[in-house]
Amino acid sequence: MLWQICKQEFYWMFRKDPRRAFYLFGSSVFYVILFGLLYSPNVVNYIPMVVYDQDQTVLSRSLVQSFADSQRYHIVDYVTSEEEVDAAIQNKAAHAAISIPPNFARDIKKGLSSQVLVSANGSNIAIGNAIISSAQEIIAAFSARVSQGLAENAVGLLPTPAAHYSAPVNFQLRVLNNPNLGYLNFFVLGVVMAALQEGILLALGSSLLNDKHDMDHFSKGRPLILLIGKLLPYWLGGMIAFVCSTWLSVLLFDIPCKGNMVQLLLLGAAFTFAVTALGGLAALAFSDEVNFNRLVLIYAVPAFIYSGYTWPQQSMDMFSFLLSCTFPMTYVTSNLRSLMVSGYAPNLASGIGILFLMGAMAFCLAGFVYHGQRMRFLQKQTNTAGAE
Amino acid sequence: MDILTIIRRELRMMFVDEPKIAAILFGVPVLYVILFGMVYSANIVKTIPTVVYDQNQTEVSRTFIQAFEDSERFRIVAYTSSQEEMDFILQQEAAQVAVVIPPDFSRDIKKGSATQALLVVNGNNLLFANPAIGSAQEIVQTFSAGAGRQLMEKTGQLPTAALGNAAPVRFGLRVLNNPTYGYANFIIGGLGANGLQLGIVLAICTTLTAVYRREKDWRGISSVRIVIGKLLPYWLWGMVSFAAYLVIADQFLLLPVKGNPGELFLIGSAFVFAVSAIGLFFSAIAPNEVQAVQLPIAYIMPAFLFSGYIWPDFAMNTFSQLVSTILPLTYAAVNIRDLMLAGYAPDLYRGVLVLSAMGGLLLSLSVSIVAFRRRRLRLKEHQPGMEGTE
Repeated sequence: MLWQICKQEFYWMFRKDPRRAFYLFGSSVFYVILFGLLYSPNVVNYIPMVVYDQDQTVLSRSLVQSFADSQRYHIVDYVTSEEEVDAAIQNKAAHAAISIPPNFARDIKKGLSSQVLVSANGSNIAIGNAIISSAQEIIAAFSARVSQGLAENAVGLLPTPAAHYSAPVNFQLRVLNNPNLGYLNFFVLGVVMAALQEGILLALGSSLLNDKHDMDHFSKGRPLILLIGKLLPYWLGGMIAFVCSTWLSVLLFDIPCKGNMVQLLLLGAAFTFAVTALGGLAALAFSDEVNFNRLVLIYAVPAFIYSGYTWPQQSMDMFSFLLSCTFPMTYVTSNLRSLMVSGYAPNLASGIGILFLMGAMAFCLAGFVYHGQRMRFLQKQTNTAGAE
Repeated sequence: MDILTIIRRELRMMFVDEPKIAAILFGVPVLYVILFGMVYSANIVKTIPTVVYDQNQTEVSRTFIQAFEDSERFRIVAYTSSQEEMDFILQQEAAQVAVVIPPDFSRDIKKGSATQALLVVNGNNLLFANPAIGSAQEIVQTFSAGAGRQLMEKTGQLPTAALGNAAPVRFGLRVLNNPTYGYANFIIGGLGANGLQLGIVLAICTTLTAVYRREKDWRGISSVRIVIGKLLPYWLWGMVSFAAYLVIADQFLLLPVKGNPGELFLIGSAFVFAVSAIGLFFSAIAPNEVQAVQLPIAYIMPAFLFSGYIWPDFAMNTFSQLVSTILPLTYAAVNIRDLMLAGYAPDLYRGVLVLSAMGGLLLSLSVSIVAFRRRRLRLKEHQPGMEGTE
């Protein structure tokens, strides 16, 4: 019986209504390729920058050169007034500007320090972050170099101690898991999970809501078996889509896959199970596919943003935190990223557990609802038959 | 039937017969702004959990740690006494950042041989990593300048000169438009616009399929009239929704909305027009209502991420730049954010023009498709023996 229902469902999925297969497999694969391509540059480089050098000395030019040498910046213009700096940033001709004060070289040689001003357009944080950390680094390195020269000349130290005096504490940075702070590793997997979820929900809605009107096909079967038979193919299909899309992200875009295969598969199975069961329950509450699809599309963005994948859960207020706990995405996205990129996800076990629990609860509820709906349907049929 | 009657009919359908249509159009952007306003209410990622591995345990090293503790950015959750313990804590994600101080930290500084402080950051989530690196760099440099100054003083220099020699070039930073790097300021404008576009497309995309379904009711009315008559009510209601999301952002979420209302209205109306035209286009080509709702899925999510709102256009490759050129959100989202945060958007008029042209083009395409399909439906009906008389 179960096998027959599954077979029929597969038949529908691939032959009679191939849209379902397309959504199920296509959406996540489509997103991997699309967003892999979008984020393939990985880090924001060549930020357009203008230079306002009021000093025009060898020293100031060598500072400008340090910025020009870094591939982070692309110097687009040299300007001659503060107004032009502001105008360039406001017109977006540049996202960053460096202003070197007059007497820059003289002040430094005299032993008075001098301040270099970096202006950044903060509207886009992805650009702003890149500017702040790299500008700080470039200026610190430059300052240490200059200071070393000063210590040699003014104080009369030998080069090595001079260097140590001028920068006694060096900053050393080790970034684990995503060493160049790239966007590919950070972002793509989560978006793909959002697409996978959408794909499962749309395909499932199409199946459950189209067949609602001809439930008598299997009127003799037990409702639980019927429901399992309808959901199982989508769970399996979702698993295959999960494997394909993560595999493609590794193959095409070199996203590392350090995690253990069994753990990855378990996570995928738990997530697709929870989504299938919850989706089944939600679809049963709707009477037509059009409105169910509307809900699915509206749900996509909040589910992604509340998952803690980008904005961390610990920075959420109580309400948002609680809401985020109810979405299956929350338990898959960060875990998947950690597992793939660093090979270990500390919340993996609890995540998998919660997802299976969520799925099981939703499935039981869906069973009740389905049973009720079918009883009503059969009763109506008997009534009409009796009336005739 | 004149165009006013069509508009009245459509309005009736939106608000009376199927009020969920009006609710979706108005509700999605408003819901998005409220939901995301709440989730980003902290605005800045602070108190990043940090573990300290101090191998030196001297006054100097403790002063150094104190600098981290004093910064709002970090919250020290543990002190460890071994490398393994520290790695374990990072792996368990109990901390996102580790500060490692070498054994001879204090002695090396005092002797005038340089030392190194190591910052270990988990790069998985850039929202932790970026601010952590920026703040740590700042803290270490300030500390280093202070220590350098003391060293220079020992060589017999006066305090000011010592500081000048130790840190000759100071770093000044001026962040325009979003000085605190607030995340809500950065993202809400665009997410609201994305919600608006989702609401419009989902509401409007079934309106023309209804015309095909009941072709007879629309006999004798030109397709131009039908399309325009159907567009206007959605455009108007979309504008109300746009205004509502800006008011909520301004009044309740207290985000800056510096731009002048005229310019905001201009970009909003062009955007709502273009998006309504896209929705109508989906509606015109879809075989039935279900597919009319499914078509936008391929469009909604890419539209936001390809719009240059987060990932900037100058960092995109050619393929992404091409995709981004054909999406209306590209011309609206960044302009709306600029108007909100800076009060001025350099590409505003270009955006308005492109959006209007896009809308016009899609609208004429939709009219031709509607005309074509209606003709086919009529032909089918006149030919006896054809199916399609459901």
